Amino acid sequence: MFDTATALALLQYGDSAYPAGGFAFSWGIEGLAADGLLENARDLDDFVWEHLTLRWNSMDRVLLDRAYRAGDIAAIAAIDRDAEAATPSAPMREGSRRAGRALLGVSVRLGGALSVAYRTCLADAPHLGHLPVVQAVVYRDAGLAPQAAELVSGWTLVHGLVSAAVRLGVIGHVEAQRALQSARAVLAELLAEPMLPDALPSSFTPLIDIAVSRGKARPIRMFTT
Amino acid sequence: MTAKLQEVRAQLDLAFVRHGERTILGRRLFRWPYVLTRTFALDQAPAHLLTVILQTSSSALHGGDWLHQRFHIGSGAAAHCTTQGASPIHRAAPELTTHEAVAIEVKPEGYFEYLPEARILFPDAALDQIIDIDCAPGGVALVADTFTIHDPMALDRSFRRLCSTLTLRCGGEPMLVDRMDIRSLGRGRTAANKAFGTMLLARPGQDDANVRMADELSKLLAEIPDLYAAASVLPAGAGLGVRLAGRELRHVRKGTLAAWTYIRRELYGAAPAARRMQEEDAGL
Repeated sequence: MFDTATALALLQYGDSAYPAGGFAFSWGIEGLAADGLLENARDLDDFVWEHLTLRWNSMDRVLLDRAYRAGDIAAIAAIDRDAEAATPSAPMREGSRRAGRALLGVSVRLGGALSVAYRTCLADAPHLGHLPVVQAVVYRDAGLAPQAAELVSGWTLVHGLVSAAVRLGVIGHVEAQRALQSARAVLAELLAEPMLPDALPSSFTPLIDIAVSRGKARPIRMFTT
Repeated sequence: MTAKLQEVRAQLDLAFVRHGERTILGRRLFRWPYVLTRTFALDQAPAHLLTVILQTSSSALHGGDWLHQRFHIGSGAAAHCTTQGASPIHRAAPELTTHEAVAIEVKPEGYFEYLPEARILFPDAALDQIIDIDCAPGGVALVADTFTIHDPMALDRSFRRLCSTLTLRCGGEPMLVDRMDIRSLGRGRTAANKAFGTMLLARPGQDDANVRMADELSKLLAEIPDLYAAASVLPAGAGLGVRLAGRELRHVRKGTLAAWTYIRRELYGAAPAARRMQEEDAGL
């Protein structure tokens, strides 16, 4: 599917050591664990499946795909506004923007032309910079094809969720590898279905949304989301 | 769906207008399946609030139904709309879907509560619903959308499809587009819940108050047993949104009642008058 050069680029951009601050986001894993809804590897598998299937594939991937195909900066910003409007939870919006802007910052320092132009656009738009839209910008700069960009986007989400569960002590390192293996199969199945050009962003992750929104009331938190 | 709906004349078309110290129905058009009888003035605060209890002669929604409701709330008017009870969405043949659209327009200083009872999705039900809210600055809209699933044979059969789009505008471009499009409740802990709800308080231009209310409401909802729920501020300071999940509909209903009561107290200083037996039991 991918040639050696692309495979190496995927390893680089999908690496948890990529300095875009991904470790700061649990995307609900911390809240679910704190509320007693995520207690073991099976729960983690279920929530990773839910994140991938009922949010990433139907929302993030749709926005990423649109932004990747956008003709100019104004068109990308319009998709970013759609991302903002499609996310009712304020902490989820804030997390998406923070993660997106951190990723964009690294790409700017690496000299990505589109990234530089988009960051200039974001200077006057504090509500923009959502992660899936920025991923399209950054991965275009990196020379990744749309399918490769989708793969990195999905995989970095999986990796973030599983590593958050490890750091919270919900699962151990070996269980984490099993969780990653299981998530790989889910992601591969989703990626095998091409994105429909008229797909509308949608999501159904109610417990995750609630867990993230309840985060503000928790006295101690390790993660931003 | 939008293009087809434009061809369908609304089966329910109500316009609420302020008339002195009262709100009255300035336009009152309805046809099958909707039935509207008298209106009620139940609340002391706001005293000008008019209550409408919407009934349907079909009592359920079926595949192939195209239902369209329109509500217009004029400047200074206040209205509450609810339904007689939960609405079953029955099995739809594979080529059919139940369509429903609700269009709400709230003018400045208008106040509208659209709090229908839950939808009950039967096995193989297919529902595509749109709720479109246009709330002018200075206006307020409180909208609830809840659903549960039910298999009369207790075989855990799922609905076929649930597509729901809730759009909020405050005059211009959408500030919120909350869309779900699912074929089941998924798996694990989420699927263990059988009832879900979303409430939205459209209150543009009240950023600080919306933040405080979201925090207070989240704390209040966290105290309700068997309910998992939280409130959050909507994009562009358009208001606040609430997500609710429970193993049974009654748990979610307790949450929506608590949120409604809290919001009324915040906005008008008093709880809403009880409209049903359960609300009397809940101390409303």
